Amino acid sequence: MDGLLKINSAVCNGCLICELTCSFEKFNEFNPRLSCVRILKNEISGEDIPVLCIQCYEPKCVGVCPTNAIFRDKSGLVLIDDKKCNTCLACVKVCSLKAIYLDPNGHLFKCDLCKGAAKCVKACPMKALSVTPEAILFYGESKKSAATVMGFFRRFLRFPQFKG
Amino acid sequence: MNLEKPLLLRVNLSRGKIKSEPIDEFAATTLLGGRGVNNYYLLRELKPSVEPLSPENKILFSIGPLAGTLAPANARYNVSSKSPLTGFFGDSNAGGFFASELHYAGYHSILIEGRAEKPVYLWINDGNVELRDATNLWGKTTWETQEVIQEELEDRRIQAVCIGPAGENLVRYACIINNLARAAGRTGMGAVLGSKRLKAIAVRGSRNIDVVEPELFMEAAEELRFLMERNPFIRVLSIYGTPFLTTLNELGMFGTRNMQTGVFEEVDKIEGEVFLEKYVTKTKSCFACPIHCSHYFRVPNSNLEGEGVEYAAICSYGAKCGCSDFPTILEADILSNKLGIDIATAGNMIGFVMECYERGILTSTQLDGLNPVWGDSEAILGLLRKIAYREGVGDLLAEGELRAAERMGKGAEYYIQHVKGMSFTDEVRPSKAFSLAFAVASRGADHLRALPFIEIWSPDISEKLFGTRKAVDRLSIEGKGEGVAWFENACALMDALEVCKMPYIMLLLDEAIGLKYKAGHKVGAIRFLSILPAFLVSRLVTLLGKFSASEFRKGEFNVLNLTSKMLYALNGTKLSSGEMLKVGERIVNMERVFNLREGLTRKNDMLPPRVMKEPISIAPKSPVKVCTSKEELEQMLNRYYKVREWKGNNGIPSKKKLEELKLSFLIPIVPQSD
Repeated sequence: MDGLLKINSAVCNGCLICELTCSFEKFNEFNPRLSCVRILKNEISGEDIPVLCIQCYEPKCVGVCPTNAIFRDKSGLVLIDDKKCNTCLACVKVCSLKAIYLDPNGHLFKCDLCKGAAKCVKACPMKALSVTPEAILFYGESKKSAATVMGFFRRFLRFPQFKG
Repeated sequence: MNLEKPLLLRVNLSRGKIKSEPIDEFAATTLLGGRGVNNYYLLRELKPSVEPLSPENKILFSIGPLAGTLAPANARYNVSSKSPLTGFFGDSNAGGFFASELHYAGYHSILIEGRAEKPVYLWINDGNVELRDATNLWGKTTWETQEVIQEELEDRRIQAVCIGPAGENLVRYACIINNLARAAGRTGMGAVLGSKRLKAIAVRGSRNIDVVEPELFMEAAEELRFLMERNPFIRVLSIYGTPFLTTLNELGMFGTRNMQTGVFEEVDKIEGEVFLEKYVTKTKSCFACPIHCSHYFRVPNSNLEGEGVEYAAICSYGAKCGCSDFPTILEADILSNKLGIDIATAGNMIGFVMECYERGILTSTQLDGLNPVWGDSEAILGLLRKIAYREGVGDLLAEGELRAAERMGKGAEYYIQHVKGMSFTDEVRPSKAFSLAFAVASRGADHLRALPFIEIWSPDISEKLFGTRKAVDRLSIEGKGEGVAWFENACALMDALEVCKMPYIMLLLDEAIGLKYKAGHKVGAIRFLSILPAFLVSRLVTLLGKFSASEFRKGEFNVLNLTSKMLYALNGTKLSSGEMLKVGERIVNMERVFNLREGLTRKNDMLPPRVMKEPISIAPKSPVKVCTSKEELEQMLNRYYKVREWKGNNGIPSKKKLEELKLSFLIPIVPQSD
């Protein structure tokens, strides 16, 4: 893998092309609910923030998984082994970005950067998503710091599929 | 793969009944969706001469088959009903995120009939549909309404279309708003919803979109996107948004001071470049659109922020009201979106009031103490609020220009600029094609029924398609009947597919002037074009148009072929590009029949007296002055009716034509003689 994903939320225009590209790549379907990347939109303030797994350096989800289904591979990607996963959702609870999702068949899925060649990066018309050689994630060049992004995230994000 | 039949949701508000049914097979296969399906149901189910704001009127929302996929710029929806403004076919469309969400919920159309006893809103959550109480939403602005619904239902991704106070107060040109600034604006569809006491339709869906051959679909969609991203016009649109159209001033088509002239001397203060430089904070986009022509803007040192601004607002609240103060235009734009009022009609109305005030037809006392001199920002914003809430003089103005002028008397009729009761979006005199297109447009004076950019096409193509090289001359009336009819068909097709006309028509243009790109081409030249000031680009384009287009063969457009490929991959619909245009023709004919049934005559296809009598310059400082005289218009109309195979003085679709278009079911309701 060349590096990690860099997200520049200041230029994201909220068109959701990345979501559709992702769901098409992963499931061969057009459905934003099957996407590993989700755009948080605040219509009134005009903010659009792409949220996806940032392949944390010390992933909480790996630590909390009771069956060791989530692991970090050599290239640094955090992956889910479907065979070991018992869908306890412990990983979802600890993930601060809530970037692990359930598909309709009850399997968990998350971003694996398309094994290094992320399709969403290619599809983004604004180049809000790009791959950077440095192994850091930043909501870089954004006028908002990562902290406010998280605050925004908590206020506005609601995932219906995790209710009940 | 067994495809599910597209579904229509029938909501009877009087009885509170909701039923889902498959869309009529004829409509789904031969009219594709969107405007076509709306048309079909209105013709079938609406009784003639129904009062538009009564419970008997019906209103339809329809999306296209491509909504929710990765087809570029796919996510528009059409709203149609009998218009309270014109009394004829009322129809408007908007982008945003509503159409795709409705497709994810599994519906293609919503038909609303009857009238609720108290305010309600419709909540569609996949297959679960219910009417919910909207008493707490009544009176709220469109932005608040969406916010409250999202909070009430605890989901930030709910998409809602709603009306504002203008719709509730039955302003005859109230619009329907979704997201911040996506408006199904024209012909007063908001008033129809208001009369039904339906405040909003909220949607959330989780289904997949069925695609028969996903790989083939993506191939066509990606090629279309590739072409769009390299098209110089679309590059300009991506950067400036529709405000780049202020360059129409260069062609004398920037309707100024209630269309007294087409050249606004202070245009440099309100053009696209100024907007981009001073106010834009970021780019915004509709669903899955690679063009992203919208912007988020903020006026420095004020709390004014919102999405937009579109050319219509700059032209209507700017030039047409003689106002060159950009913050005023932006404030009026935000205000009209919040109140749910059509920007184009409201701007024209205010311009009309300003002219009446100048000429002494209206006095300050009649206007509740306002002094609407040209460009007065207080008057623009004040009148806008009064209209939306029907306060004082607003009650009169909310009835639309035609009705207001009738009641004002004193010769005010001469100063209303309208066709079929709906006001103009642009100035049309310097282009004969636009003159004709506005005159015959089924919903009244509007550019989006045809967008006839014939006049910057290559003469070769216009010879092939329209039979004369003169069609590219904007001051000649030759070939305009053919040209406008062709463009109307193309636009109706795009409305049926619910793709955005801007990029698709611009791609047609691209081929028509002979630009061509191959995969891997360097796009340096086009980049260069896109950084030029917009008006220079428009000049260049005019120059380019003079080169012959050798790539265009067999009269087939690559764009249409690609679109038809996408459609085939999506659901197996096999249509050649010629047959696709037939779909458009079918829709135009159906609308004509609808209008004829409501009493349309040749008189309704006429331009207002000012456009026919007062010549204006065709460019800034140009000594050449033109108008579209009555004789010229009559000639073009005759030609247009002939091309369409419409008979008689009033343009009645012939039996033969209707049979050829598989519209025989309409024959009994077509009036047979003049």
